[in-house]
Amino acid sequence: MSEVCFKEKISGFAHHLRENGHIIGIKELTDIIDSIANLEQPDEKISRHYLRTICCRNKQEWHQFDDLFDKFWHPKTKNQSTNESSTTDTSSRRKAQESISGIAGTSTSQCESLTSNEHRGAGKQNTIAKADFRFLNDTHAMREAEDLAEKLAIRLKSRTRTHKKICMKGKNMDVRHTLRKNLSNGGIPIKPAYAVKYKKPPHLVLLHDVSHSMSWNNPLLFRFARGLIHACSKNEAFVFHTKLFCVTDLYREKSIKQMRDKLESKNHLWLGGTCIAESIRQFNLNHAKKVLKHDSIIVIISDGFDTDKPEDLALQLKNLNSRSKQILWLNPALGRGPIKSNSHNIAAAQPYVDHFLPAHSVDALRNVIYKIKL
Amino acid sequence: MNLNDVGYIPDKKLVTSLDLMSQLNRPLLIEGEAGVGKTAVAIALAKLHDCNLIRLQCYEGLDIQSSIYEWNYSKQLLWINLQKENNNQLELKEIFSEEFLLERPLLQAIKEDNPPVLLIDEVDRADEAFEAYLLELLSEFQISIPELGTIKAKSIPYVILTSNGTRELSDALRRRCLFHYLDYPEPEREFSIIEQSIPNINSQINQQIVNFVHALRKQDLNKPPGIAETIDWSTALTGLYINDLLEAKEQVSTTLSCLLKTREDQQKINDGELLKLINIAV
Repeated sequence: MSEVCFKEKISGFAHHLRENGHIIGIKELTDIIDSIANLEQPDEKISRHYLRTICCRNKQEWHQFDDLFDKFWHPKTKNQSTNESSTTDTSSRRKAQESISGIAGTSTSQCESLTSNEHRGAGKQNTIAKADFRFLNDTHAMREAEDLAEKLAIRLKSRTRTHKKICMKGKNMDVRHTLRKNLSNGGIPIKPAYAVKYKKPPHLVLLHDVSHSMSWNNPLLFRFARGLIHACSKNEAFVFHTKLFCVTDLYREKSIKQMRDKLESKNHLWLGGTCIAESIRQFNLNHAKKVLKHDSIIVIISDGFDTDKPEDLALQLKNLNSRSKQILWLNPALGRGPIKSNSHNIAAAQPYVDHFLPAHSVDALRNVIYKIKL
Repeated sequence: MNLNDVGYIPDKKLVTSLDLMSQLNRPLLIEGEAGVGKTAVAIALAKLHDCNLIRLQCYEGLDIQSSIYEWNYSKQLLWINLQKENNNQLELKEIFSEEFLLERPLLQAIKEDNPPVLLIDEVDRADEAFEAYLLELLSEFQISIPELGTIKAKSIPYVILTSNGTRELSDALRRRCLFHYLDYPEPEREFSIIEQSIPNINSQINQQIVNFVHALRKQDLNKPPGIAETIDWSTALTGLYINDLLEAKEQVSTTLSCLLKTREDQQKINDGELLKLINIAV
């Protein structure tokens, strides 16, 4: 292979990786070319390892790399192996679906066996955690998933960030500040300054879609949202459909039953349509100034189905983005294959949202906790 | 000489990543579960290159004063007073010179004549602000001190960063590093690792231990056993002169605490489960 042809191929591969979500800059490209050119005996295995080490940035990319490599460099072989793997994938997926439908209640015997005492414990919990909440028809399994979701959200309490502040009293004297403070005394520490460490949890503001299209997912997401609100006393929650309402106090109810009763009794909270852009506009206009701080994290829980125009949504999210530290969008539809009808809204929101995350199962929600920026 | 000679048995992917790291002079970010041997890579690399290992253990609240440099304030004050007593004129440059600088691990690493191995351990435990401090060092191998200027590396250290993935690292940090994901070893490699750590181990029990641990890792555990745990358990079983797991179920049960480190995990592996695992292993 000539040098030009080799470089073209490598650029093509870099382009292929970029299309699949890898971040490949000029530096990476030159590193690839240099490292492979330096190989005394070019060998596919070593080149593959080199490319993987340079091009991957996280575990997911690392595990996905082999497939992408084969797809680009061995397209024909890949097709065969894809067929094989697709068979195994399908069978494993079928198995998974079977296990899910078991809890869902389509097979009563499976459902009973899962909820029986013999199967109680982590194995069952794990299956419930992985199952799509839409398929959980069995009441026990649903309650268990909801409990798991709430406990998971409360774990946010432990995700704190340590800050340091300078005080007049404390245990550890801060030499730098003491000296600065006592410059007028010639550096003699008459007024000591102490460094005191304190922990600060992230400040979350939830915008929860309670429109009709979300009704399947909301039992799980209500409990997750409740957990997030209970994790820190300063977190705030709002629900919206065509209008926006503050529900922080409702979510703070100590008893779940009371929270449910109150939510159900407030009929104005439940309407069919969804106006996400309008609801965010109301938030920006009436609440943002009071509620948001420079380090607030906005968590939007919605499937993205909106009757407002995508450009209005983009405009409101842009406004919200400039006032907050991070925007997370939890979308239960994301974990269920490609999104069709609401793709325009999602595309419009994309530039202003830091992460679009699936929220269809307890496992998906677990990932959310780790994506919250401290 | 290779990593095997210094007591670390790597797989091919890791060897390639380390080779690339020295070829391109770029830091290597190693991610993986706890106990898969991430820190051991740096220790072995230092032995291999016969150089110093400079370790920075990251934690919440780690700051520039504990990781890069700090001014020796007491020495500066003494010197100022001395100059006053001798009626000498004071110059700011003299106070902020290298004489009054306390070197912390990162600065030490770039001031060494022979390239050392710099291990930045569990970088995900440090705050995001600390990641920002690291960027200059990792891309340019230099540290800027406002009062003094820029200190460039005398020799480029082998930098290894480890992370357990407890928090997302910034893209800026990831882009400056090569990446390697270290997984649990395959059975053959784990067999060799145990053999190297405990040379007098019987190969039958070694194989059974490896099979048992691999089967155990497939269970739904909070903390699956890492290589260090496997070695601890092997040492315990060897100390009890056990050569067959099937014949020593009771001892296996009592020594299982070497592998299972949480109460929930210990409760999950009840007698029935244990028997199943032993049968798989044997």
